[in-house]
Amino acid sequence: MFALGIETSCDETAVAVVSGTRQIVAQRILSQVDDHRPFGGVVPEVAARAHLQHLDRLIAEAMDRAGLDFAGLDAVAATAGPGLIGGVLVGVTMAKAIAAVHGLPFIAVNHLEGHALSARLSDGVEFPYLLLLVSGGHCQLLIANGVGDYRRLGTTMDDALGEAFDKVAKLLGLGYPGGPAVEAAALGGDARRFALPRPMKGRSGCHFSFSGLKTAVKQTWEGLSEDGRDDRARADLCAAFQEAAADVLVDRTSHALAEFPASASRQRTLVVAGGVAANSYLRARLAALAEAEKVRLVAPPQGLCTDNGAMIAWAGVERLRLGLTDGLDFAPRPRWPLDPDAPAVAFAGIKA
Amino acid sequence: MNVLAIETTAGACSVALAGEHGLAERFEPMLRGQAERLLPLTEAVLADAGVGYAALDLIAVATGPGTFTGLRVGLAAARGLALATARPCLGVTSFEAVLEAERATAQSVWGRGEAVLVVLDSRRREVFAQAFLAPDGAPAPAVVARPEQLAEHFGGARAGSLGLVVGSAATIVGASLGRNHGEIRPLVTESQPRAAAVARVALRRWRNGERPTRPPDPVYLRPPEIGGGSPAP
Repeated sequence: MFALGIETSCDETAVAVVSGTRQIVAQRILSQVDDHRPFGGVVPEVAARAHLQHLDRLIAEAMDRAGLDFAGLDAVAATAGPGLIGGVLVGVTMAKAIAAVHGLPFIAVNHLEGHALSARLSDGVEFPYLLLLVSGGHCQLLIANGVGDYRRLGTTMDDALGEAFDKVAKLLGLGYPGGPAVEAAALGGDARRFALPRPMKGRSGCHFSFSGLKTAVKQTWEGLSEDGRDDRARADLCAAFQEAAADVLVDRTSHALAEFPASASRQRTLVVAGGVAANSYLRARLAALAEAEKVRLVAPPQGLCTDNGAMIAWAGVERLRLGLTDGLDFAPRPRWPLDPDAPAVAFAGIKA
Repeated sequence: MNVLAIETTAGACSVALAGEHGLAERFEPMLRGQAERLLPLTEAVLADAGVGYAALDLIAVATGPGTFTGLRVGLAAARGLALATARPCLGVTSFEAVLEAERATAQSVWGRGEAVLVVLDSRRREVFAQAFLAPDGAPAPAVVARPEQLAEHFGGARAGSLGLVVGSAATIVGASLGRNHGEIRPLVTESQPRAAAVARVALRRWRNGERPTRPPDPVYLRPPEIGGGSPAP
């Protein structure tokens, strides 16, 4: 079984062919980082234009590398939300066209489910598992009970963690994208020099809030003298920010673990996925938590954490196996929560 | 020769098949939702004509200008169909498609040595405009301009010999010309691009020997709006 996966919901144009035996047969990823860098963030219209410009060529290249023709596929899957609708429309429409010509099932994939299932592609993790989904657009804790079956325990009430990384990077003049820049700067920093808050830490439940932390970074930075705003201060502040963020993640995740009952027969699994899960420091802190809680931690390889086509193709494989295919009239969903029954969270908006 | 043509740039969704068996077209007005309707309409048109994807020889698509989202849906479908059928894809601008529908009138206008101006609604104060000065030969460069600036854009003398204004913004532009340039009295015809016209233009260009070597590009005519940027989603 082979599925073609297409991802165009943000600033990566990504395509992959994945097999039912968990092999990534071929993949192509085109990052638009250079297109958006002048604006310090992703510009939706710029992203949509770039997706249309490159997607058909990337699909052809991926199919070529896979050594397959379209008739050799079993399904065509595309991210159909949540995300920037202009790009999603390009990916969904092209996927539908390919599926129509070859009489293949079209599968509309929830981008978040792509992240959620990526650990089953990389590590064959079995349901149920606790999922910490941390990306530029989302920060959620969920119990993954099965394909299409998620229970949300917590979400951010304001900024996503990746968003906070981007804003801190911008503030400190570290450029865009902010995640890798802040992580690199923090490497040589002293996290103890600046005291930053740990929003929500110690509070009951599993919700997150990062807006106050970002503001504290801003005030700390602006409180320094002009001479004081040097690379040393930059590194120290990045380290302090990263440590505060990790403290919050660990605290919230430990609360979620308490709500994710242990079974007598098997060890509990914590999966961390999404672009922010590519951060090595955060991974290490979560590994320490997992060890203390005697939980198995699974973090897919970095290339499967950031946006990619393989996770969408894999979600296609999983859904095809269950007969969960979609019509050519499927309407993309800019908002598409994994757990539609979760209560609304004030100010979380699309991120919930 | 079977041409499948798609038009989604202007507040509608239409698909046409022009081929040995004549012309089949489906047209639905819609401001949004083309991504949901376009492929089902395509399947319906093929079924109407009793033709499968394998029998297609050429894919044609309206490339704009028009709504950014609409024209991208059309181009994504057309480029996907071309890739999946291994057939060439030919782009037809929305100006050309509108002009095609009024071709008979345009011929007599050109025969009098007058120009045809195609004007398309851009959902702002400006309109998209392009002048066609002769039946063949390159049109004047397309512009984005306010109706009252158009006469100036195409030069006083040329505007004086304007015989036809056609397109979705024709009424507005005609009224503006009447107010500001009473001496110019073109025919004014309100009209929208449709897939059938896209198919006819593509077929003619194909028969004239045009062979696209790469997929068509969209015609935006406006730079992307940057706004205040956007937090990374």
